Amino acid sequence: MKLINKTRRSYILYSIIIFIMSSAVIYFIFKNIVTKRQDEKLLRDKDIIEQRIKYDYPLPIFDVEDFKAKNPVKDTLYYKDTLMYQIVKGVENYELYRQLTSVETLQGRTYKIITRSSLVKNHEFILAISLSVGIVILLLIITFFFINTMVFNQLLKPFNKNLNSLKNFSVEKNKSIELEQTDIDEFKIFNDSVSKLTEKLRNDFTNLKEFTDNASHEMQTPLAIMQTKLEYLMQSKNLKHEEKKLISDIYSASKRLSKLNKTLLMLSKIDNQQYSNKEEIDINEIIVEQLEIFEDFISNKKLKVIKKLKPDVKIEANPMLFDTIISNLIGNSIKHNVKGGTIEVVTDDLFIMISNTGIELKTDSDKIFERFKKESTASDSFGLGLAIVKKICDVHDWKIKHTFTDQMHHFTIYF
Amino acid sequence: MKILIVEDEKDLVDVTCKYLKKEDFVCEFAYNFFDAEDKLITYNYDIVILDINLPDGSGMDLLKIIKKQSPSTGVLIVSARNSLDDKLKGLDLGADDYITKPFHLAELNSRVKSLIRRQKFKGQDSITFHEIEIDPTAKTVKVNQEAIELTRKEYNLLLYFITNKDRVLTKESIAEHLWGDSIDMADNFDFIYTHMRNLRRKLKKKGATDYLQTIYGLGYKFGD
Repeated sequence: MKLINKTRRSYILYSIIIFIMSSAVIYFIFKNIVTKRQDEKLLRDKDIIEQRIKYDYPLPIFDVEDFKAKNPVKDTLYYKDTLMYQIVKGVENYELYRQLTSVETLQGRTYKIITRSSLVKNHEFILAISLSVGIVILLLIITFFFINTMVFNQLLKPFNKNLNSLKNFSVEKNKSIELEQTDIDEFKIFNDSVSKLTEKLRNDFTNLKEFTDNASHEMQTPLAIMQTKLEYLMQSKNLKHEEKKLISDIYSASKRLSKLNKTLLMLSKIDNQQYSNKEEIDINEIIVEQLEIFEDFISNKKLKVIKKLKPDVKIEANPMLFDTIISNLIGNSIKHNVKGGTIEVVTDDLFIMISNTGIELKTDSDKIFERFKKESTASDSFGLGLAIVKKICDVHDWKIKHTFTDQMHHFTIYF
Repeated sequence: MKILIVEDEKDLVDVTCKYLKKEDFVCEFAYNFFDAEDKLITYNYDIVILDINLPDGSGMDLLKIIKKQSPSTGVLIVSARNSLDDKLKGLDLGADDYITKPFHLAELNSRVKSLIRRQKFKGQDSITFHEIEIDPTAKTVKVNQEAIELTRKEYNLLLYFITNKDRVLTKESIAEHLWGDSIDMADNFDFIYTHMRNLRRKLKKKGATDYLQTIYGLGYKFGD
């Protein structure tokens, strides 16, 4: 939920409560005031009537009856609201009245004086006032709502902009993050922290990148020296059988190490997006080229190659990485093939499939793309080939899938 | 023969590589100092075509590395700079020839070939080892004056053995020399046997002595 909606929601909720409460309070206050005034008026009327009775003035239109109560209640004086039946313009209805009843003995006679005043007008008056006050409050609330939204958006504008640049920030892009300046303290602190953090991230990333490159590069030198010296040692005459075996073992171990070094460097270079330039590539051209490179491996294992290539399929990719994908997959299809088996390469607008005869995997299909995963521990490979393939697919937003049907492994890349 | 091109103009590398591949060279390339240094440390080359001006370093420093590591590697300096200084400095440091950009690929090819002749064949037009005679220009092989039919790989294999006679060559270095640097990612080099066996068979058939020895566990040696 957006911050503005969150504040809007609580704003509306509180506004409704305040609106209802203030309307009720206003209504009761006004009602109280008006009732009080009315009661005073009723009391005054009663006093006038009393005075008139006392001094024998005629009472104008009122009916005067002797109040002959069985138990005359002395000194009664009470107010109450009562409904009176009446016919106004031929329509029967009941109207609410305020009524003051007083029982008093004046000059030896007991009078019950009832003064009434219609409450309808008062009610209308109170409602009108409450309503207009309510409307004013409502208008205020609505106005504040829009002002609030406006101000909020205004204030959040630089923040949202910065949020966007943070979202688009990438350590690989070798560019500092650009933040919009603001005079709000909280945002200033936020901007400062983000700038510092991203700068540190960029530095660390560059350092790491350089370190990996350099470490790999520097590791290559002693390895090459080892290999050169070993090759030199091989030239010496009169080497004993065991010595030859030892030299051979050290030599292949050092070769393996430099191969691992190269592979890891490649993985880190892909991670660091050092192969980000893309070109239009003719898929079939690369496949034919790679099959040619592997020609000797293929004929050595007496493999049959079936090519089902759709002509003129072009994709956008990094040429170096695409070579690597095809080379790794074809290399694998030879390595894990059986003698006299088949390799099938199918290309289409949306996919490449490279298949080979082989035995079923013992592990899960998805697991084979993990680093250092390999089927047989006896194998000379590191289990990095498919990890590289997966990584390259990820970089290009392609999907790769492994399936096994009819004694064939299929690796399919969907573009 | 394996060639390394060190040059930062990718298009030029592309064109040169294609041309040299057609001329039956194994061609490797590096676009900058860093990669070139990596490659020179790790692999061996017969010829290095070296641009003096690289984005991240000077070709002169690479020249020093080459001469220190493998003095038998021929170095051909390429530069747009027509300065005499560069030329002299390069040659002083051990460069074998010099070519100025822009150049014709045919000229580059001729210079490379003549460099190989000087560097590997002691300036002769043909190499002879007892009854075996190789003509590198025509790419033909004769045994006892009789022409022998070899495939491209077999010919290159024989040439590599003869130019490195009496040396133990590992399967790895043979593969790298004939198939290129990336072959070191392969898990086994059994495919060499086939070519080796065929070469042996063809030479024997024409009456040549079997000079090819298998050195247990290490590799092969061509020699007496």
